[in-house]
Amino acid sequence: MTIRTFSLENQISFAEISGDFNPLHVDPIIARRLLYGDPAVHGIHATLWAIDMWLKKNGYIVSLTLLKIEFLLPIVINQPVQYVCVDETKDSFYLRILISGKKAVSIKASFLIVNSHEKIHFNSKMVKDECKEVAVSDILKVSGNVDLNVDYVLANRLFPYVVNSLSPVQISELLATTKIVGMQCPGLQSIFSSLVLKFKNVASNCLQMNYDVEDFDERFSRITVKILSTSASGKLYVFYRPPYKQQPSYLDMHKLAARSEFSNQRALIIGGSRGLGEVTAKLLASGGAEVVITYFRGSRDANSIVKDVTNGGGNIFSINYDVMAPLEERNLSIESNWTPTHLYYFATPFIFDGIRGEFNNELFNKFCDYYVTGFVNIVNDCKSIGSNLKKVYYPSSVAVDSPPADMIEYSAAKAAAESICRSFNITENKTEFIFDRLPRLDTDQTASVFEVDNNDPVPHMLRIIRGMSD
Amino acid sequence: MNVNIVLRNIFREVFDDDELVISDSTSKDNVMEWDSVAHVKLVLAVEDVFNIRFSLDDVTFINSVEGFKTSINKYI
Repeated sequence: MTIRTFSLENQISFAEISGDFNPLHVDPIIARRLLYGDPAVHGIHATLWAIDMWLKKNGYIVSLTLLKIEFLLPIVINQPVQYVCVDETKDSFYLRILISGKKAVSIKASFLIVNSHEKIHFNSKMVKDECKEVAVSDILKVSGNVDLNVDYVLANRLFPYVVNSLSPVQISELLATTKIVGMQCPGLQSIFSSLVLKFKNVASNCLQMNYDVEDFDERFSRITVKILSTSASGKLYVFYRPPYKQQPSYLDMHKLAARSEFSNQRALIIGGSRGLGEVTAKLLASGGAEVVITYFRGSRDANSIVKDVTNGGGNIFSINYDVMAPLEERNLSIESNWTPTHLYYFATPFIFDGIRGEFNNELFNKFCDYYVTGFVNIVNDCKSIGSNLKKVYYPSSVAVDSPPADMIEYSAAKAAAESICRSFNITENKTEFIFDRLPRLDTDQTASVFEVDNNDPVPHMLRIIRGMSD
Repeated sequence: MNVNIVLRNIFREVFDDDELVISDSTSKDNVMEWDSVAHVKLVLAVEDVFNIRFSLDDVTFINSVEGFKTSINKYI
């Protein structure tokens, strides 16, 4: 059994080899707002690692004749994955990459054993191109080509047995597929779903792969891309990835609340750089509240919100604060001895990390760290700076009532947080702790490749803020 | 074409399980691997074999083997 994790450094190295610098794979700050909450491992990166493991064991020098790959589950950085050889014959292999026993990647190949491969000198230098963003309305018109390339030195660090035992042209063709999908077709908003490639043994000086969109299935936002090089042909299947959710601007929201409606609130919003925290901050500021938002990693997003609200005449600033840091490292120092009267708590990790029907204790502990321990920490930190909190808002979830099969850990941790709120309402007699079970609201967290019913967060948060002002 | 056998073979292929046994009551609720991605794969595979194209309403309605059969019957 072979288990490993992919680090961010591995990902950046692979991007330099393949030319696929899509931020979904290499930018942790942007990726935290995308579908998986963390940078996702390039599917072709994971595939080449699995083939590397197989070649290491078998010692063959091979020329692929057919390759079918399905990317079934996302692999994110630092997530343990397991390589398994399901089946092999003298001219085929079937490999899988598993996450907690579930199939994440399926790789089926046919091959010929050969004596050696001719070393190819690739002329082109891999350059970091701009990540294109093709609109859905234009996708059927898209075609183009990418240069085939392998940086042997870099590639040798990531998959040495592949470099030694697989045809250099075939390596370059596999690398080209991820560049086509992640950088060009459709580029930025892409999820690589599967590929089928047929290879033939033809020598050529033409080191390019051409691509052409063959079909777009609007029901699933699924693109079929036909690819062709001198020695390979096949199809790539790709989904459009939803962009991260941009909440309405301050100006869009500022007429929803009366001008001084929330002027009785000095509001501290934990996790205010995006999502529900962002909406809450803008609504509060528009109603005359003094607002402080905290961010953990999203300084760019927090600065953008502060600028948006300040330009519109609102009163807001931001501080860096980590609810999970040890006591001596948590710094809730706010300008001019400012203390909050109201606290809103939106700190959260990525919530769709569970696997259907399985309880993962580590994941449950992670949710509890954010939803229980972090919450208790900030309540205590508010006391330590002399704050007399009047009201505290805690967002629970309808998942407590009906836990989805892949959100058991999340639901249980939210239920635990509700218990903490009830306990605080008994022990903290000067502060009212309010929680309610929010439906699925439209934020980065609830974005999906497939159509889902998400509710507009603005009216929900406005109702809650008004309840906090009573 | 025996619809039951064709569907069984498609389900076995999509869920990568050569011994999978299905019945009309096989559904998203009792097959843990039947997530949104698997659903798309099932729909596309069924469309390919039967040479049909489901409407978006059909795609949303189908959540079991019985649902597939009902929708297939509308088109063939």
